[in-house]
Amino acid sequence: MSRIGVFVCRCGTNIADTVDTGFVAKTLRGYPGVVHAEDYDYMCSEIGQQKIRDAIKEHNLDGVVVASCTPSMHQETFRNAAEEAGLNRYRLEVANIREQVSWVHDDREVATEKAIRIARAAVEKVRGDDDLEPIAVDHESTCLVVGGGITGIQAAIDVANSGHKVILVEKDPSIGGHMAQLSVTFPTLDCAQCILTPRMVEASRHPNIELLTYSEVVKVAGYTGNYEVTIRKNPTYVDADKCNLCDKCTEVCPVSVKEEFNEGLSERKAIYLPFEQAIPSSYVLDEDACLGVKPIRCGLCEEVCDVGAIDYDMAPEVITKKVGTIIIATGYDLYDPSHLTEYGGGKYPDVVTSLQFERMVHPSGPMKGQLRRPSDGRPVKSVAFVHCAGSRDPGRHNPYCSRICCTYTAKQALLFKKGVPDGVANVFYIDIRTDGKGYEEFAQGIISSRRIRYIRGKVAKVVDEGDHLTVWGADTLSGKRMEIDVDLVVLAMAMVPSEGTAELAKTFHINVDENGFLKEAHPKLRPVETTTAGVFIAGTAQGPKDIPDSVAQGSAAASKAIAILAAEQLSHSPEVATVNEELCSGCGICTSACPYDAIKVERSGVAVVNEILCSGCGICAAACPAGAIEVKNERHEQVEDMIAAALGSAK
Amino acid sequence: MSDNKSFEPKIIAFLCKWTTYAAADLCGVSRMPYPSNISIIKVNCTGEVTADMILTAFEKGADGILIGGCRPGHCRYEGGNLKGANRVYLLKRALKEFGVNPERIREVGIAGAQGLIFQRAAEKFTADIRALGPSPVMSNA
Amino acid sequence: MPNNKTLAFYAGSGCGGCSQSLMLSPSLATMLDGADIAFWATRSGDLTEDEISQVDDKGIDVLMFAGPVDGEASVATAKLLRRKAKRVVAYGACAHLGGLCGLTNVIPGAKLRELAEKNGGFIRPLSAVIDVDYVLPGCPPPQGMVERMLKELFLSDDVPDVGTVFASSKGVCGECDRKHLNSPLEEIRRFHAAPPDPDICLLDQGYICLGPVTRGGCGAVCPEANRPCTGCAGPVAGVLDQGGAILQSLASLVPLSGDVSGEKEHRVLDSIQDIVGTAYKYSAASSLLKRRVNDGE
Repeated sequence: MSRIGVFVCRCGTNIADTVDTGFVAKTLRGYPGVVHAEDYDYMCSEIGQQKIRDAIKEHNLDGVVVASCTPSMHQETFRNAAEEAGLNRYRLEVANIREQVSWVHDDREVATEKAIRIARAAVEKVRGDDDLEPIAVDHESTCLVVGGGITGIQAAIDVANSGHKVILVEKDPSIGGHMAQLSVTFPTLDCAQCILTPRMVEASRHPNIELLTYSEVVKVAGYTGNYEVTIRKNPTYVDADKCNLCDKCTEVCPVSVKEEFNEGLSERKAIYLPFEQAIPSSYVLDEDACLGVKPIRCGLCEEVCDVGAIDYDMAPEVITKKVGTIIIATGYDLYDPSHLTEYGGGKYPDVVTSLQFERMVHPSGPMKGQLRRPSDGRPVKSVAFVHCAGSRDPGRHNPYCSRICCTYTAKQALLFKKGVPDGVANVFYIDIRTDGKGYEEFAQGIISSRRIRYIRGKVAKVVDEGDHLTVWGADTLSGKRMEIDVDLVVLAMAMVPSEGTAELAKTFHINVDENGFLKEAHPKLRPVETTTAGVFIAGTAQGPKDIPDSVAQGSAAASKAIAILAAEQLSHSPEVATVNEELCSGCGICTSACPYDAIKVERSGVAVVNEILCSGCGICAAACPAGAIEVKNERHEQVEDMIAAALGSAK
Repeated sequence: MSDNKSFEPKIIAFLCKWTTYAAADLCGVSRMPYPSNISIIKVNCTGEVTADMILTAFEKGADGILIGGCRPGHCRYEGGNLKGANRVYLLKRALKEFGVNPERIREVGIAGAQGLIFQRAAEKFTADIRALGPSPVMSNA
Repeated sequence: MPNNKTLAFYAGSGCGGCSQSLMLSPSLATMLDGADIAFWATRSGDLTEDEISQVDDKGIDVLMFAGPVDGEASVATAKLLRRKAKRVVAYGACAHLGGLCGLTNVIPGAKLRELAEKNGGFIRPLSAVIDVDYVLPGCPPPQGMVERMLKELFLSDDVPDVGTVFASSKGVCGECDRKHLNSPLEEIRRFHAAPPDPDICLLDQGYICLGPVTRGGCGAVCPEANRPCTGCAGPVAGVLDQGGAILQSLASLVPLSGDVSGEKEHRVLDSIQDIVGTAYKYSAASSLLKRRVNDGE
């Protein structure tokens, strides 16, 4: 038989003004299983808590109900008090008679009667509560960071500086990401490589960071604190420690393909250096472009290599690593310009993307900073920049705003004018969204300078007339249609999740949003967490954003990871789902209901809950056709008894 | 229709603790009154509400059942609220066959900050149930 | 070993299948050997109230009651029989749950219901009117379960605990050999339209099988015969309302389309024909709702 104590708080006058707390206590005293009931002014005070502790000892209570404010206020306070007196903390329930009774109802009789029913419902819950202990979990202390752009690098450095080991995996042959391709960054016009490469070097030299480039994660198993990841290291066919960057191999290589770093504006050989500041600082042999290594079809590069760095016998290596947390910062790609058929994207060589323009204007880029038309090499004297290319277009392309284009287009227009002082720059815009720190001032300075023509209107069409392009647009402010002849069109292409993000999300058991970006646990309050505990996301993989926000998210994700890695043991709430093996027939309907993949049917033929992955949401319990799954201390019988008590039906 | 002037409906509300329960708390904090006919049971997700819970509520005398969770697309458990909604959809079909007016169950999606919306939903639902009259299920022994 | 108990069998109304299931049992002869049979009525007309009254109170060790309680007359008989018996077995789906007859509780159409109610009321499970000690589920109870009941009740010295159900507490899935693919439910199939693949779980193929919500013990005999389980043994031990349980699980299997209007999901859910006949085929009378009500019609 239960021995339950009920404590009704007056909360000064907050509850007592409307609810006759003395009467509630008296009535509850007569309820089955209740052996003690009292009311008091402030249950959350030290005196109030002492009353709980004393009553537990004096009356040998095995359950406590505190009828007071909403549980999120003081449930933990009361549970601590109960625990101090020797009662398991999960045998204390709070009945909400302030926010949900005294503060919303006026009639004293009605409110008192309702408070009695709500308190009784809490008694029913406590009656069925079991002793529960938080689940202690041992864990690995290494962090996996996927993606070696600026975000991943930041996250890796932050975790490494906290004293924990990091494995940084990057699928390209070098770290650096898209930031390495940029010319200068807004709003300060810092050289991108100058601010990026020190970080790249720091990451590669950090004693706590193991760098795995040209590698991909192929499988993830396990749970928070104890993930087992399988990584495939693709062969570069070049020993990075031996390569001395002499460049003799590229002179003899017979194969040329489009160079990725320069966004296809130049060519590279099959054996190549990804870019000047590449880390690892080594050449790489692109197996797909090469005439063949197994068997050797050419072999010229190996012949000329003085230091014997080339090794055709390299093979993919598959390794497994145990990690405690995972940070995914796999970045973005630009929306494929060939989708924008009306602009000739991907078709007209002189219609380029914003990243291509960065390479064109870069002093070390394929044109050495001399802007020339890709088609015929003539100098560019006039340019049209097109905002929102593929963004803000729910009908045909991406519905969202890519956030950075307004600011970088202003920067690109400025760079154009610097390089071609007598050139004509037109910017076709819909809005000017320059919301970062210093961006408004930066952009307005450019817009108001009158050296660049800002035209408010979408571009309808671009026509390639051979020796120039004609841009058909509109100026909505004057109401006029426009046809402008230019040498070059630069499309501010939308940012999309990098290639392979959807598959990656599946591998890591996380979700993507309706636009394919990795999904955060809560859009406002949990931007770098996912619904899978221990897996964090950061940077443009989570959504379009600029470099400061990416870096901030990288650090944020690192802080979340460190909290787990630094804990001696992880403590997990015991209010999790549990399977009654007597009732479970192994039908498996629960497995697809779980948002966390926390429940599986084992070979034994019954479903088993991974308590560490389980969040206690109970969706499986309602999917189970047999009532075999219940959330601990929220069992079906408890809820049904609560319903009856709340309705005032006799038990 | 029975004479509903003296009839006080009994309503059980299964409210998701992350959203509608918090909205109800906000009503309290803001001192926005709503009918006392509604007794709230906190659940982790409206996807946790079983058919047994709903039918038990009717069996024990509930005249109306309010299920309050996240707005569609916003469930922190990746669509638990939508799974719950699918279950209620089927259950309503069965209830209709048993002669129970399926309007006695109402689902609402209310964010935690939308206290006013909860107040309005609570007032409207209570009025609607009052108009429907007492549920005939409990007396159905 | 010979049975030295006094036993009786009573089937009020119903199809007669339960009587046959008992008659077909190989252990019957052994069970009857040495037993004292108070009466063996296979129709209510076989026995009068007087004849029952002549039996001593508690004079029957085990009474097996088959058929539904379908009106005031049968309620009275059930109560009378309860007095005469030490232990009562609800034999078969009608006594256990109200059975198929329970569907008459839900038939639409005020005139038909009026007729039913004029003829004595509505269908109830036996446990609604008297204390029931044991349950032998099934429509009819499959041979294996009948054998088990006979052995435990009549051919053993130990008396089973009150509340024993002579079936598994787990669902039929536990005895079914079909392969689980854990497929989402995207399309409902009906077996008359196309025969199922005999090796794969019926739910995976889109056939509505009540196996997961129904007590096993039958050896999954219907899925073995390539037909979905229709739920005759009643709900598994953890569930109060069998129909609600299968509906909540079916709904859980429909994949979320991402379209919050739910149109796609509703189309699948709407394609379930005859929702009460499917979900509550045998258990309508013992569901939490029990019977059709008049809600402002």
